[in-house]
Amino acid sequence: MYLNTTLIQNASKDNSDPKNLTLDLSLKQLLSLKNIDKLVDVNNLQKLLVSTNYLKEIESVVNLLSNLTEFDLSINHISRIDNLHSLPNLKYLNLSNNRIMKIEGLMNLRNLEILVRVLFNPLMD
Amino acid sequence: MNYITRIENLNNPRIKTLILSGNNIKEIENLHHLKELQNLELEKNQITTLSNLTIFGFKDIKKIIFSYNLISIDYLDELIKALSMLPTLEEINLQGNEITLHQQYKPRIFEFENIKILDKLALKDPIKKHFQVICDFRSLVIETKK
Repeated sequence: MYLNTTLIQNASKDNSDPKNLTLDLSLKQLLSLKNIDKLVDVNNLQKLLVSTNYLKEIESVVNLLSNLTEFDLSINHISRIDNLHSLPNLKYLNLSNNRIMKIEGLMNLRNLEILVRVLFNPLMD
Repeated sequence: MNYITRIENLNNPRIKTLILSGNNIKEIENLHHLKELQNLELEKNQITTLSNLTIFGFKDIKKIIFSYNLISIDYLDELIKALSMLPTLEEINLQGNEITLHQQYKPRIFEFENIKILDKLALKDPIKKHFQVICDFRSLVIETKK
């Protein structure tokens, strides 16, 4: 599934968040975040939850989310940490359960406070 | 393999919590920039020694979770030495490591007043004192047998 307006509209129904600072796209069978900049106000978004989807990479469009403070990318198929260099306000980053083999690409995240990269593979051991 | 094998490329000065559980990390390294680190969780990796923790100058490290690694029973003296250089520590978890089987593991760690939670057990003073009495009694029994 790719992002579309219906998905965004259904996702942002959080009454405690009238300014739409949080976008919860978890469990949406998403293949890509392409066009997210055309569907939401990228400057306002603070929390982006994209856990449990089919993302293969952290796409360059993510760089436009300049006010992002929390980013949950856990349980996807991401193979490299990339395109996070323009997120100076990022505090929380969850990359657990992806296909990442190397810690890299986190250099400019001066405000990062919490980094999580856990791998649980119940089929092993 | 989908595992991270090395800790590297972390120059983020404000990191307070770093959780890299369930990977293939063998060594605690490259944490020099993380001066504000408070919580370090490396459960289920392949770490054999904690001595490296003392070289990074952590000003306020509070919690270290190293459960299910490869810290051997021979390592106790070095562990105590490392802990003595980390006076801000409040919680430590070494469950699932051979070192916890050492007879002196609990009593020697109990000596650190700053450590409040050991292997998920909150160390309240009555528990510490109770355990100390048992240890003292054991050594008393051994001496009278002589």
